[in-house]
Amino acid sequence: MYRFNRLLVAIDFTAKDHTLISYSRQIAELADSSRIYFVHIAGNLEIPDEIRDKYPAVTEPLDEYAVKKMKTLAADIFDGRPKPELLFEVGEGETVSNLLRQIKIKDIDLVLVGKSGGHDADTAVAEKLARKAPCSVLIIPEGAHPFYKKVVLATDFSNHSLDALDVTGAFTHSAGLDSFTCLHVYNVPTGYYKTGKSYEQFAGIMEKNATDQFMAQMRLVDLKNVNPHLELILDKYPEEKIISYVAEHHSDFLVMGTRGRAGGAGILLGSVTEQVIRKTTIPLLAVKKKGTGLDLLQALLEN
Amino acid sequence: MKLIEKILVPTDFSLSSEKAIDAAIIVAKKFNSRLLVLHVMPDLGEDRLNQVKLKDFVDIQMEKITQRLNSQNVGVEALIETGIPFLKIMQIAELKDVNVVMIGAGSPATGGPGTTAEKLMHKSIKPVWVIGEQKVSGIKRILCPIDFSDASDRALNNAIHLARQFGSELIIMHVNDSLLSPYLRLKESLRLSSSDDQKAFSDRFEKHLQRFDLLNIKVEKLLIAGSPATEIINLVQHQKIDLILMGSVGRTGHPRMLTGATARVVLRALPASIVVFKSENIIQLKLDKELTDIHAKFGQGKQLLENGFTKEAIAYFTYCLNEDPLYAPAWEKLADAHIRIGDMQNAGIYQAKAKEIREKLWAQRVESEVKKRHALFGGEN
Repeated sequence: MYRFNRLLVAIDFTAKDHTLISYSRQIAELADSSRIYFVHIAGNLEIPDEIRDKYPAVTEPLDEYAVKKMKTLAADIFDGRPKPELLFEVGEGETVSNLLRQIKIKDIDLVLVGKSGGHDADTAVAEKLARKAPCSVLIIPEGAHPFYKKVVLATDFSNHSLDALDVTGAFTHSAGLDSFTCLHVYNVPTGYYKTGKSYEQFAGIMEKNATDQFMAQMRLVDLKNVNPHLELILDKYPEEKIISYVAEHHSDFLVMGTRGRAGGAGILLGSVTEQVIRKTTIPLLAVKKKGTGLDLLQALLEN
Repeated sequence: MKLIEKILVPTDFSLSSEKAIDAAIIVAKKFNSRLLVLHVMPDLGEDRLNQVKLKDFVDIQMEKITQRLNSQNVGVEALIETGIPFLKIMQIAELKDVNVVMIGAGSPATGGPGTTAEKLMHKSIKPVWVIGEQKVSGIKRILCPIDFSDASDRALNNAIHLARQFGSELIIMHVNDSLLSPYLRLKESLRLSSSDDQKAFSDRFEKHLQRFDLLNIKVEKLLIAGSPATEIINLVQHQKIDLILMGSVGRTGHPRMLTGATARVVLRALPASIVVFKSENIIQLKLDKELTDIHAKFGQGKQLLENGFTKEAIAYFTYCLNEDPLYAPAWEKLADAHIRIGDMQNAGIYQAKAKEIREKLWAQRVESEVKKRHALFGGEN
């Protein structure tokens, strides 16, 4: 967990904040993080006229108030412990781009962001951050509990997944668990019949392939005493299978690499992860190697 | 027995809202009612920060109010909602089934009530009690203008109950405006010759009032010719009136009667606190528990009669008599109740019945044992 030295928690002053802060504390303990930044991005730091008229007694500047409020929220959970250092920041403007700027300036390793049930503005923020942030993102759905026993890594055995495997290993190890599930959804390519083999035969080959890849990856990382067990599912739609698997097995933490097989080829990548982010009901850690924020994408964003 | 169970007091933390709370405390203490204090915040949508900040501010203010009410030993429930004030107030009033909404008149700058109070008065089906700028100390004199409509009867009924509970003086007035408008006079003259206009109206007024149980209340009856709103405001300004109760028929009502317009004009002037009635009562009888014992039912009936719930009392006595037709005290009380609502004919019948039973029992008493007599008379009357 050496990676997660500086955390950023995106506070939006909804009921989700409590869960987010609880998670940040837990992760900070596991990863021995040195700093946590609590950031709220407000659309506008002016007090609206409506409030000025109706509540003349309300005069405190919004940014001061926001910092004070975040401090009380954090103090409730962090309980005055000396480490990590807690810092508070209020920004004004568009949420995602401001958060991205903060992430860059503050050299953040992990962003924690909440997500509410429906597919609304919050989900969009979580999705966009996962897509654009140059670091790992932990997406926490509303009402999740910061306790985990069953960790699932959804992997496609790509290089990004290797990273995710490494992180999951370290994560489960520091959480005191001795095992996690490595979930791989594979598919039989449509052209299998040209090889002259039956569907079942080909599926068998794919399965063997996956097992081999898993073993190969296991050799590449140091998982300490954690023993992942491999779960293979044959299906065409990985995102749905991942969602239904974690629901059926009551898993409470999901890890994924953010970019799929296609590597660094453009914007439409990691679509499986994006789909899962949209639908997940348990916390999802989207692992990204720090600094792999796409230069091209950033260039596009900033213009 | 509870007469006013729940009072909804919407507040915007202004001076006027504080007055409404003061007035609500007076009523709540009298009737042992529960206060629901409601604040409606504006919905700031995406502006979460301002919303949270506002919520914090509102929480503190509500806490202050709750403490103030608790120190007065008034049961209180603080409610915070988001949305458009008058809509939310109406919603909550119906959802919580309150007896009355007590609201401060609001902005004194414009003279009349604030927009929320006015909209509430027009649209709420629950009675709305608008508290004026006048100092709230007690309810000593109540004015009830009537126009013989259902809504005004409802207002009068409630006025009688309030006057009885607060020991206040009740002024019942009817303003006859048919003499003012030539057109209306023409219509009216089809039924009444102009010479005995006044007489006919005063007869009608008296006859109408006979239907109400005015026992033990200091009542002043006024019959005035003029424009209703003007006369009501005049009277309030010249006599010390603490509370006006009036029905508001609304646009659909008969145009000559005290229409919504009259109530509206009076409300705009707001010479005193005012309660506007449409289709629901402030005073709603809520009994503590269902009684099955005949003696308990009789006791309840007597209590109701004392508090002026004549019709309900009659229902109780009738029930007792269905169970036991020889229950003489119930016959007597039934007769009393009918006298109070001016039904002399039935009262006579019931009195005779009671007398007959008592005589019969007297004859029986000679031969029957004491025990049975005790069961029928025992401690009840």
